[in-house]
Amino acid sequence: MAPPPNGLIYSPDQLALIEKPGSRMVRACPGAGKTQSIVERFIRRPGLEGDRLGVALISFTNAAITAVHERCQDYPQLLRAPNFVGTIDGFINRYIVGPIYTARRGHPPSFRDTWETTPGRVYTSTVKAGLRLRLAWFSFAADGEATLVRRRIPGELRPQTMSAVKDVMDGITAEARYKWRSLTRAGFVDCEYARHLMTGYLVDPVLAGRLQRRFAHRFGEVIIDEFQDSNDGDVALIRFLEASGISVVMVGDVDQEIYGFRQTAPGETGALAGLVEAGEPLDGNYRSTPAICKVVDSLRYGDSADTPCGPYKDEPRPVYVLKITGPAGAAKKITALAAREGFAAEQIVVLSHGGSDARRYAGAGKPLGSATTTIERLAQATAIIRDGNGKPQDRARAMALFESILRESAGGFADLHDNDFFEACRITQRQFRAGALRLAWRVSPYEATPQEFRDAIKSGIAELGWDKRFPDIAKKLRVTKDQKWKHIPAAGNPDALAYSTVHGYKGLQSPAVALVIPKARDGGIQEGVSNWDCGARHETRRVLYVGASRAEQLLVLVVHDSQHAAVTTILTRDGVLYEEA
Amino acid sequence: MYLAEFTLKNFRSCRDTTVTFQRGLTLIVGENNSGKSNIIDALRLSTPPLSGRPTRYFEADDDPSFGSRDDVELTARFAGLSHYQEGQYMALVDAEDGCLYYTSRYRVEADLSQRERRVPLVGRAKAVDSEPELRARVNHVYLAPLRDAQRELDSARGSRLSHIIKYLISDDDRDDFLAKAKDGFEKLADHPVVTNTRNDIHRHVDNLTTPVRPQRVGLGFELVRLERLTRGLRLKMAEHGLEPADIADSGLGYANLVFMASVILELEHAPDSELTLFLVEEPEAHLHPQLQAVLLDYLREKAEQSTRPDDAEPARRIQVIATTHSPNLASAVGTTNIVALRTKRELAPVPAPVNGAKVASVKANEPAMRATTVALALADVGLKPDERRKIDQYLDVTRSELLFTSRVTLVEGIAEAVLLPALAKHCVLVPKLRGDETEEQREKEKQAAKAAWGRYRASSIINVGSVDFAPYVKLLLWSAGDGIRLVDRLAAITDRDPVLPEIIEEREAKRTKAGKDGAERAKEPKPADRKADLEAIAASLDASGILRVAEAPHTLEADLLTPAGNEPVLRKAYLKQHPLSEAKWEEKIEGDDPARALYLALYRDEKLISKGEFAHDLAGLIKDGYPFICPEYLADAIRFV
Repeated sequence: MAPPPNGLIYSPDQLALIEKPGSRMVRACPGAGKTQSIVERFIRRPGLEGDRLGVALISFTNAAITAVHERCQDYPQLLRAPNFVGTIDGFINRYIVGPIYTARRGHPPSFRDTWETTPGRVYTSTVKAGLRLRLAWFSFAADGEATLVRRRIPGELRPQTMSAVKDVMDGITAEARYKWRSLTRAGFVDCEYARHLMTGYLVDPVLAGRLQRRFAHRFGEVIIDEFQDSNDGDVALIRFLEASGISVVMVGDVDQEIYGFRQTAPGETGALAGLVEAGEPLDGNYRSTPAICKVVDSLRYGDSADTPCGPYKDEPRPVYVLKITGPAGAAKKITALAAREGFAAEQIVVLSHGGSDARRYAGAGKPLGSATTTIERLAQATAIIRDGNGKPQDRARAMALFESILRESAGGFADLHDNDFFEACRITQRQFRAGALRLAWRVSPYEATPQEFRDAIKSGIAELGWDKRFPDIAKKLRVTKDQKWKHIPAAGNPDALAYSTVHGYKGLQSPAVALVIPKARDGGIQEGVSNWDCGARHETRRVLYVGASRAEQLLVLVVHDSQHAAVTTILTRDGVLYEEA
Repeated sequence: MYLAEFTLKNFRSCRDTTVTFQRGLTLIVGENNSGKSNIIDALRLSTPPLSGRPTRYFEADDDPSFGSRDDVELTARFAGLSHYQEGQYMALVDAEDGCLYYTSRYRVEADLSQRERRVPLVGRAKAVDSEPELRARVNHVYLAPLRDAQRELDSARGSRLSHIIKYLISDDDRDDFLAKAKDGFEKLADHPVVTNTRNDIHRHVDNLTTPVRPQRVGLGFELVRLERLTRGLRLKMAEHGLEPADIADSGLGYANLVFMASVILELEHAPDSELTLFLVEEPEAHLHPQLQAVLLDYLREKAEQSTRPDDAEPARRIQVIATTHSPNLASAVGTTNIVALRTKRELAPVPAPVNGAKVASVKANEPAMRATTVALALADVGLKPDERRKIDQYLDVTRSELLFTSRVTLVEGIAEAVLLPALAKHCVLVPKLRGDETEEQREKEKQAAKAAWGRYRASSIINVGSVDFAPYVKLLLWSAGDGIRLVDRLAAITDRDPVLPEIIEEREAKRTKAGKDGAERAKEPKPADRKADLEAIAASLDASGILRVAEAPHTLEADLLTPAGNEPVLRKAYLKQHPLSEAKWEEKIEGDDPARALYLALYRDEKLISKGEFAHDLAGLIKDGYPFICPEYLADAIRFV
């Protein structure tokens, strides 16, 4: 067993979570040391000592997974079978959908996070001339019934796309459904479809009985991190595991539930709440200063309060409110304020609900925009893969995109599912990935012309000895006449701050956080302010709650002029120690 | 769980060969070159060794595909998973049949490294393995045919003993042992050997270092570690009552047994192992025949004992797979546990062009042939339990080579067994000379006859010792579906034993005498038609072409009289047993049909001739050159085989 990390002393509540055997649901406030505690529980296996069963640690965020990996570095066997550490999608695919689908179809499913990395992901609609659509913009029911999801369309394409589809919606959803059907028939399975398949398997009594027996002999406990983010499929799975006799430990914070678009309804996590015994809540905040804890209390629905008890529990620093009229100059002001408080620019992260807001307020210039041609998309993916500072999940996504573009150029094999594709190409998945990585590292896309980039990829493929496998690569990477990149990222501003969406920063923390509350628009974060004001329970308010609770020592609320009065009124009302910057 | 089935594709002599295994012990038997080692080698490639140190890697000549460039594929199917194992392997187990399939695919392209060459896959669909860490839980231990067991037991580096000891002792015992060793070493540190050496070294060092900075020299034993201490241990053994000596002096046979025992011991304590394939090649290589059977019983017993509940600890099951060309071992285990290997000749595939090179032209008249291995799992033969028991008992007692030859003659008794070779050599497979041949033709004819005799000699005559050939015919002619059987040619020599009118009369009379009447007087049973029965079995196995039933019209001794001119030799043989009974002989063979007459005489008086003695004497006379003509039914059977 791994010894506890140096110098860490657990509180009685944390110890209860770490050591008490059996099922429980534990509510944890931000900064409560939840991740540390469940990782410790994962290692100690309370109630399963000497047992041969595994423990699964399932998370919705990568933060917990990274933490387990770091903690178990010297004990790699803890990360191997019979244990499992990974996302809920990985869990479902590996243990439920993968085996059953494979036995029934005679080949394993080709799992994809989204339809964005499958053949035919971008297509010109036959319903209306000139309309370019992406399969990933739709949500599909179990029978393929399609719904166009506005939010999934990138901002700059959204208005024109929405107006173009307005009067032909039936046609484009029918078309999307047809495409979805041919992909699923060919063996591709995205996360959404995997849930549909799982739901179908779990209601088949024979299959479900067999699965339950197998689960019971594989896992003694399943630890679910951030349980509030489960959607209806996840809830069904958790109930199924519990019914298999596996102890289910759920940890989370219903106020951090900010994935409404994953079809979660609060009622469902509420339903989960009755499933197992409630454990002692973790309401000691080890992360933040008292003033930050107070804002977090204020943002939280209801009237529970966190106790600051970490290293900054005695810091008297107030929360700062920075009134601004737009993104121009905001980054400079934030940097200056932080410097005055003793924080370097590298310690600051700018967070906002919308990704483009965060980027602009951090002074990082215009967003990348979404590329429309294949060569532009490949160039973007290449740039992300080569960016050493990028987030691992972004790079993984870019890698998947890179590979899928490469596969589209594989002549007659392009539409094959993974197993057949790799067999036809006489190459393993690992070799394919290694080769794709080497291609990505051949040339930095935006330091070359599109023509040069294309030639580098082409000659790289020849060097790998893959030219017979991917004959269509030159055809796929068509270069426009003017020989220019359309979506070249603006030259990075060296003074720009780190930035992220609140969703992307979930599970993480930073010494200094600047939380952007921009100008009032339709929908979005300003609704959060009004919901905050009137004490309503709403996702936009929870986004603010999650954002503010990322801060350890310094929280700057970067508030647009139009929202300023409302915000300061609430802060005063709730007795938060704040200061105007 | 156990290895139920193993399929080898394009691996050495196995183009597409499937072997099925028994849960406990499976013995793979076959002649040299039939593919035994190939199957063991493929198992060694497919599973990691228990020790973690591979001893077998894929080699270029493991690909026999004659340039067709097909991948080598080795697929193991494991069945009988416990609930626990099904759970552990739930990501990999087939959702329909509950079996675990592990495939190792080897790509044969020339320029690949060992690592790139091997593609591990799972499931019937041969998918990427999502939990490769589980793979090592099914492993193997390999015992090579000509093993220097003694060296392996004693070698200082990685000595087996020190390796095993760590499994066998408790932590307390270990600490105590180390503490005592430490004490001992400390005492030894004051021994003159140590102190004198130290002082002498010190004196020299002192001279060198004092002018600069004085140094002190110490001399002591290094930190005591269990492995180091136990490395010095040597196994000793001797027969009861003698002073144990080094194992080298006890004969290699026993060293092998000790070695195997040490491996079993290690298996029993292997951590986290679900199944260990114990691969033993030719255990007879170093063992006395009596020890061979003892060893096999021991292995089988260990395999049986290794089945235990696995809730609290790994199953650590042992499955023994051994190869042999010893009829001794094969006979001892019984047919259920035997897989016999046979060779099938088939057209070799046309080589595929490599990198645009010209296709080597295949001459139309000489299609390339190649041999591929076919495995016959005798457990699958459609034998009734009592038929199987009969064969197994027969094998156990006779240690016969029934399962080892491809041309077999089944006979009812010792008489046929003794006479057939003599008849073949001196009467049937002889040069056919009319007298007007050239010297060259004559020589050619002689060579042909010699070759025919050589082939016959290589076939086996199996004395079943009864008239019940059916189980043997079923076994030998059975095919798993591709027309390959244990034998290529099978002759069965039987007697018709006709129920002649005289015999019926005599039986009726006997019954009347016994006082049975009317209803009780059973009807004369329908005479058995052995020839038709055996031919029906062959037909049902689609093997009519390779069975010849040679039936004596009456019975062997009687029918030897049929060819004109045999009588004098037979008479001579008879008189050897009964020197004073020449008149009796003449009386018994009197009439138009001497064979029929002798048959009746033999029916009436079983002691008339001692069949074995008679056959031996007759064979002797034939060898001595007395003219004798082989009855046609026997000659036909000899030529057929």
